[in-house]
Amino acid sequence: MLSVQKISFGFKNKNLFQDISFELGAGQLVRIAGANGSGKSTLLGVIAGLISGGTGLVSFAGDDDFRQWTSWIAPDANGLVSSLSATDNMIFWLQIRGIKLPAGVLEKTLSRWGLTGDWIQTSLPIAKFSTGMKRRLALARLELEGSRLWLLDEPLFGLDDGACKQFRDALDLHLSRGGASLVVTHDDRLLDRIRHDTIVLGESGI
Amino acid sequence: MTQKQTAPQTWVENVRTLLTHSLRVDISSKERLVTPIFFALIILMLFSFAIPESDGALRSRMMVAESQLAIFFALQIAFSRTFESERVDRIFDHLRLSPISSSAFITSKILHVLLIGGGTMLCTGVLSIIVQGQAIGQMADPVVIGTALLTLLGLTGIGVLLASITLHAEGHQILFPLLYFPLSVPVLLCSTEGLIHWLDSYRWDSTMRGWSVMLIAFDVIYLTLTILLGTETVD
Amino acid sequence: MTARKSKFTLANSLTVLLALVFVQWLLAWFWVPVDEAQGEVYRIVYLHVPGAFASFLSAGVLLVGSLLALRSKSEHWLNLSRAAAEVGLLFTLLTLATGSIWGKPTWGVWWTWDARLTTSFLLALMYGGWILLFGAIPQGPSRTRSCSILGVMIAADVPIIYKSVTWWRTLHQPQTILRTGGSTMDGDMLSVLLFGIAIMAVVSINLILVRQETLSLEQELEEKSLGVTS
Repeated sequence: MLSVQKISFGFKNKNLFQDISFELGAGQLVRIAGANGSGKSTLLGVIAGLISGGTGLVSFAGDDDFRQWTSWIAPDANGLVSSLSATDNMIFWLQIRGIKLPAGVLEKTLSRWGLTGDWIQTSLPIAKFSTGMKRRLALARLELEGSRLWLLDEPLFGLDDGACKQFRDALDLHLSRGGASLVVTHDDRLLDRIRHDTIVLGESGI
Repeated sequence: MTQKQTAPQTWVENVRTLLTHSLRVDISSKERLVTPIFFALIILMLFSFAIPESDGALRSRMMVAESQLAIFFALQIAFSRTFESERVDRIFDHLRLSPISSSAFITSKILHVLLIGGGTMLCTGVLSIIVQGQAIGQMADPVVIGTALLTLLGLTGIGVLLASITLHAEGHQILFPLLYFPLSVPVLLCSTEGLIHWLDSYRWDSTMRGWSVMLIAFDVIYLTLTILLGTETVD
Repeated sequence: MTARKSKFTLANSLTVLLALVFVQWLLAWFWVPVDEAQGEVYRIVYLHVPGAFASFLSAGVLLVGSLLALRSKSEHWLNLSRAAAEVGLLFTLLTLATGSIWGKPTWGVWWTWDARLTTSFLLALMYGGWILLFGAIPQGPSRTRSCSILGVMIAADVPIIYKSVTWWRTLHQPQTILRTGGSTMDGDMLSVLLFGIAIMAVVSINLILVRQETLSLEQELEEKSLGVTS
């Protein structure tokens, strides 16, 4: 699904990481680990194409636009417009991917992620949401987008134990259905029961 | 979840989704809609303070100056706004990772600014009829409206491109007008001179044709540059 | 090593060129006849017009640098653009200053919204804006892209502004247009002026290249020193 060959990235003469290579196939999960500032998010950004200036080769399977089947969770942000409601935000992000949901699915999914009630779903602007609620909404979007490849950067940021567990189950389901995922996380709760490979940055490769 | 339908959006659908979203964001925060109108009102008021009793010729010049100023500054508000919503919460990065064509993105921005600018122009016109007793016939003149729309088009081209360039620059609030002003001079010059000439004589002569052709030429150049280069900035 | 060597040659040739500028000035001061209408003051034309020419030429170099940077996405060409913008600003300011000094005795005012003065004024603003934008974005591909796009816009705008402003002023007050047209000048005056334009064109290109080398060396030095500390 995703093949990364010898990618390096650095500022000036200092290399942040060098010659990272790995393959990610259906049902597989690779964890990127390392100390703060070791370049985990940068690596994910370079792979996703958000950060340019690196060297090496990143190839996504298939001839179509990889963005059509890839979803991203940012470490410190959720990509939500603060003046709009949860539903309006969701509709925009799903529409732009050409996803049409049958009636009731959006409401049910949001409720499952703990965002229950008409008021919270359609009236309350995101600005009034707590950190955890915004993260729940972003994860609900991830689930609804139904992409094959998930690029996750600290997905558990701001979540309570219940939501952590729920997301772990969602990730498990995603992998069992043949999805793949690249995960940056410090939190062992997420991956303790999921089979995965680890790339440690700041040391020598895999 | 299995009944969900997915079909990649076409270019036109991309533009429509992005534009509707921008407008929805505008409506959700009311002050965004009110500011340009409020602004136009203030400009009209300032002009009536400066020139209380105006004769015919002066009045037509005043009208031109008023509408140009109102459009110029209201558009500047629109430009800084149109990329403002993407600046927060990494929405811009999320958009870059969504299957959107960059030309669709730029086109939706141009259309968005045109809509806001057109709305402001309309409000300025209506307000100047109410506040200053401007003749409706003078405002509803097809040449006046046409020139105003062409000005809007040219300014939108420059503004959207500059807004996308300065998106990541520090102090873009200061940088933007500094770059916007000199680059917009040709468009403003042609439209101002053309309008004044028209309102003074109401004759479609060679001077009038000259200014109009130049205005159209600038619009074409600026919009082409924006679509060609603007996609570079968001890729 | 090669970079340093070429800079040395460029700097050397600059000395030669400046000597030529001096020769042209000597000719302008002592050899060409005095203008019948304006008197001695007109001699500033031998600095003013070549300066204006160089400021337009810099916009051309800015265009070339920007297009090459957009194509190759390399910072090397961005340095050329930056050098062109700086040298362009310098010559535009020179043009404005000499124009102003010339305007005072001839028109009686330091400044008027004459076609060419307006064009130069806008050009100075645009060069300044380009340099500010360069400083406002951190080094990287996004700066290369944004600055190059602005460079293309500015270069595309120079003839547009010139054309529109000239037309605007020609329509309204043709009497204020500077009368430096070839037809009113005698042969000696014209040849010294053309000589001056040619020299100044080469000087400006030379300055741009020297500045580009300096910027590249500065960058290299910065990278090297950062490499040592990390």
